[in-house]
Amino acid sequence: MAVRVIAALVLVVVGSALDVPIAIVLGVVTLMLEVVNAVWARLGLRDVRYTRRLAGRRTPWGGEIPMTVEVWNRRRLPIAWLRADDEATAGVTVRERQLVDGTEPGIEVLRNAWTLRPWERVVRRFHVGADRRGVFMLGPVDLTMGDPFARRVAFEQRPETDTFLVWPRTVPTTEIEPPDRWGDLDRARRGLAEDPSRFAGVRPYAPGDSMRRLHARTSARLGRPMTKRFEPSREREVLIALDVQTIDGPAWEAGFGSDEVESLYVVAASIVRSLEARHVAFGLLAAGYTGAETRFATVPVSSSPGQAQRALDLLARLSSHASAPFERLLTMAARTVHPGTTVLVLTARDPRPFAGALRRLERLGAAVVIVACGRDAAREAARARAAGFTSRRAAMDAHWESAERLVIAP
Amino acid sequence: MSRAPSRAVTRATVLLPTLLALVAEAAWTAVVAGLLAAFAFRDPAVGIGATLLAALAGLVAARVIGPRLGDRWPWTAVLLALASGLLGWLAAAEVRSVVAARGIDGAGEALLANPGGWMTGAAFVRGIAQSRIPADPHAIGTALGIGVPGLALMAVLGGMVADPARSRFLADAQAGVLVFLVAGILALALSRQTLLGSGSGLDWRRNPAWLALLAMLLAGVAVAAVSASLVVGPVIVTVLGVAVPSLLLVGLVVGFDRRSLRILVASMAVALLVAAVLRAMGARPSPEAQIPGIGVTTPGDPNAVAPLAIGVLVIVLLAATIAILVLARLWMRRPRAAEDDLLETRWIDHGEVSEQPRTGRRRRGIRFGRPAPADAVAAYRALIEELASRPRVRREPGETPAEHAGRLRRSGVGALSLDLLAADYGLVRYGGVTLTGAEDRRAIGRAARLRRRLVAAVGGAPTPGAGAAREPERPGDAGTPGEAPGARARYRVG
Amino acid sequence: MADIAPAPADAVAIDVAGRRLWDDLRRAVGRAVVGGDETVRLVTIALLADGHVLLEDVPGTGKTLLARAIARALDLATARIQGTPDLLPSDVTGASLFEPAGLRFVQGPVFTNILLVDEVNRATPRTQSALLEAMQERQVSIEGTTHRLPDPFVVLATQNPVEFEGTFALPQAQLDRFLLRARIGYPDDIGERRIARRHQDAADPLDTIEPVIDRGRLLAVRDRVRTVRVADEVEAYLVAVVRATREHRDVDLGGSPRATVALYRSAQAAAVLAGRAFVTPDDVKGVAGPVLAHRLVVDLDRSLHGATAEAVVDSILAAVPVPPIAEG
Repeated sequence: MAVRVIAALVLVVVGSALDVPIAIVLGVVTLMLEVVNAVWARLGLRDVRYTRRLAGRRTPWGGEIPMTVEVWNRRRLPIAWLRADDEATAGVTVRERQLVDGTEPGIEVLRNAWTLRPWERVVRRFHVGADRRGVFMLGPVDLTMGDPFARRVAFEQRPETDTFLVWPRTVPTTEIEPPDRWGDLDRARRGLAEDPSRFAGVRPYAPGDSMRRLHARTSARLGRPMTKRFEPSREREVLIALDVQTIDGPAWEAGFGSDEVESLYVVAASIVRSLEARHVAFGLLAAGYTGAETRFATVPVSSSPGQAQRALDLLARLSSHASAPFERLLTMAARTVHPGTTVLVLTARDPRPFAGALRRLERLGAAVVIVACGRDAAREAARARAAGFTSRRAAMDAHWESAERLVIAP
Repeated sequence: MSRAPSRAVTRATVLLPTLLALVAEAAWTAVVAGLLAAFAFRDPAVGIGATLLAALAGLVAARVIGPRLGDRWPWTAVLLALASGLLGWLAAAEVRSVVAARGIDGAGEALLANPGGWMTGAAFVRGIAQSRIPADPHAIGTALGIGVPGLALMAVLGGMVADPARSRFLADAQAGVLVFLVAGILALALSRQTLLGSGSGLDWRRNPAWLALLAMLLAGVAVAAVSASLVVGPVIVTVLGVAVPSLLLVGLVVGFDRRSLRILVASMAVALLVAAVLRAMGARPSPEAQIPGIGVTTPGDPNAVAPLAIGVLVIVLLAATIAILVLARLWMRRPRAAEDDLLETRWIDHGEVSEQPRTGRRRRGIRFGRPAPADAVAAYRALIEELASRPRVRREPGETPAEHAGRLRRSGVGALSLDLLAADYGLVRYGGVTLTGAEDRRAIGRAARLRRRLVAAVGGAPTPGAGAAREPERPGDAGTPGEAPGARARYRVG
Repeated sequence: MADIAPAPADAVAIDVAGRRLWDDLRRAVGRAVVGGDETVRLVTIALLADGHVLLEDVPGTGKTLLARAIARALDLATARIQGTPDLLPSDVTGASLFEPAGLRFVQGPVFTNILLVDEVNRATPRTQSALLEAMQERQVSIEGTTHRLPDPFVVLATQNPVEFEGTFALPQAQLDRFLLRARIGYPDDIGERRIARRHQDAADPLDTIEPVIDRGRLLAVRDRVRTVRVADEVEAYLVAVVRATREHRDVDLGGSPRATVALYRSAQAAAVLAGRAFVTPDDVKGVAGPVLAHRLVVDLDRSLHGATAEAVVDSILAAVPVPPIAEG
């Protein structure tokens, strides 16, 4: 700009000195264009409001979240052009727009431009998704504006970001084991604690029994105190232990096959959906990074509404590489798992290296079921059986991106 | 409106920047043609119309013939450009008569008869350069970037020619330069918009306000430039004429250092060189320019062409603006595709009054225009509005009147009377209580004192705590801080 | 100013009764509880607004002590339930006993004025839901017969937010039934020393609390709360605050219309405790956090980055313009 101003002044001076009005005209026009540019630069983007809104924070793989982008010119002058470059994590897709490459690798840009009348407010609607599961971010946004002659005049980076999750794909799943029906309920096959909601008769009062357990009617009828008995608790509790590592070796140096890992996540997510549909209390454990400081990712066992969402959120966040050895995860699980819980081990590896940790879980009263996934699922399931564990083989009818069904069979 | 006309309108609006770029190219080639004619002491035979035709021919050739010829196109283009130049050269009757009379022997004389005619060849080439649709802002920017200093140089060179050729050239060139600038800047702006809009949803045709602003600014800039060319020259010459001898005198009295001396010698050498060149060219500075302040013009004076140039400019600008606005209007009326409406909603929103950015001047104007507050509520509102422009003492959007009063009191700027005023406001507005006349008057008095005090405090350097001690308070109004003392007093009274 | 109706004629009476009630309760509870004034105020607001309170804090902050102290200070029937996994719905609501003369309905602890539910999240969802239904409907239906609960009926439930094992988190729909959630927090240095000193005495601090508020007095003040004036601009502000929770970027689920009603009633009760016959924006702001925070579901991602429901409410209160809003 300074060069143009100096050149313009030179033109004016030379034109004056040599009595050539045309040079003065050219100099003055150049100078005034620069003045207009400077005035516009001074106004800047102060009165321009930019808002991005996501209608949701999560979507399943293949789904989309409606998004609106709103700009508002809050000044009395029109804006020739306003460009907003929203940074987007690589993998983000926008149905209505092709993203352009950003200045940094792994960053793409959703580019929007407007021409705005005075006080004009414009809302654009988009649908964002992603080509894979994960945590995706939109923002910060770079705003650039043009002066009335459409020259770039102001730039500002606004830090607002929006994050959304893309859950792994889910497919219909067969039952892992046949349900144990009790009345109209779906029960686990074993249970240690009593379930106070399942009355199972009476027995004579014994010292130490709670008075609240006395069965008033029977005690009155028999003339001696009788205590209520209950069925053992057989609420199904399933803890999914996900082995993020897909290649044997130390967790910190093992690589991963992208497809292999995604398949594993699709199996995990499909099982989560299936357990939720059957109102089973379930939880999820994995040794993967989620963006939080801990190495282990946990969703405690629960049957409360929203549990599947919590588990799928976690699956969306989990890194594709392991954060710690799977044995350590299982050892941690042994400290908190309830007796009677079914521990569903999802792995694409040979289960023998962590057989010790699994046996410890069994000794604590948990039922361990190994679900072998991946290309060698049949072989790993056989190995697990040979090691003395109940094992299943998870197989999808096609590549995870197009599969229609997940079969979990012995 | 049927779909076919709407497509035509769309195509026309897309073509517009290219056409304007061609006008700009035609204008500068016409100026150069005029310069060549001036050097030959002839009347220019090729004007802007001829060069525009040549540029259009170049564009059409590049778009129609170019793609079909493939590798042979560059050579064909050169031949066509030469042919175009030849046509331009032959456009002068004198050339034709010399060629007819003397054949090849009169080639030199014929060339000198219309040297500017060959610029139609250059216009043809520039037409090829601007043949991209939508227009390429880079090409237009380059043309402007080279054209501005280039035309200045042409003008300086033309100024060296002896009159009357000099005056004629400057008169024609000023109009040509203005057309070049206006058409070029307009073309650049529109082509930038078109380029930005591709794939990002911008469409300048939706913004007639911007088009109007652009036209106004262009007209203003051009008129100001032409006017300045009449006024600035003599002023600068006067300033230089007064300043340079004075500086020289001061330098001679005080003494030059080695560096200053070198600069002085170099400047004198350059001045002598320029003077020698001017003398060799036979040019002479116009007497009017040498005597500042005398605006007497002669028929040969280039200043006389200013009204003509402005007239040309106004006509070009009006035509361009009307064409753009009509096209934009027609385009806006076209039946929109359903997905367009789904994608975007536009409306004019002046926003909430409180959200609007307001200048201090406007606020002061409002305050002075209002009557004096008549009751406690009006007094409190007026005070809050007064403080709104002072960040340190204003009430923040999420702050309640009591919180605001408490904050100011704690910071040492405010006083308990603001709590009382806020409490009075709450009693009336929230509690539905009607204050007595005396209470209203007391509140108005408090507000006036507070205004003076708070404005003074933020204007100067307030002493923490000093304000609260100075403010006289009524004993009966004293209450627990933050508990709306006024409200309590009111209940006690019943 | 024409839109403002005259103040109620009995403004002075409300002021005196509400303020005195608050002073008496605070003084009585203060004999056993150190530094819980704000929590006691919130519980009193809930009592006057006919709502229930969820006391949530880490173990050892005196949740149960506070609840018991308030119960003692009120001359009302009090019962206590300890939430455990084997607590049955009938342990809460009562059951019919077979006797020679026929079935006799034995009332459960829910038939009381002040019900303390310790560790409500340790009870099974079935039991929780029986309790929360009673809270909402203020009646229980057993074997086809509907039994009305006494008036007033206030549940003071406590829960510990740090433990997950063996607990059943209250679903959002049920959390919404608590008028407000109060936290006690750790006492300051002096307060903690006073607590330690108080426990050197042989006597239980709770024994020093005498009932100071009887049922009639409480109900009289409570009836007045509904007549407390809420000006149009304060009402608009209140609604704007709740609506802002639905549009906040950190929130997945904002406040429901029930939250608006709760905030409205709580602000009225707060005004009565402050000695006023009308609600000010300060009253709304004072109760907005406890009334709204537990009803919000903060986005998981934002919560991982440190967002909390309380912070969301604070940011909303800082952003929503408080009346008087500048006029054009």
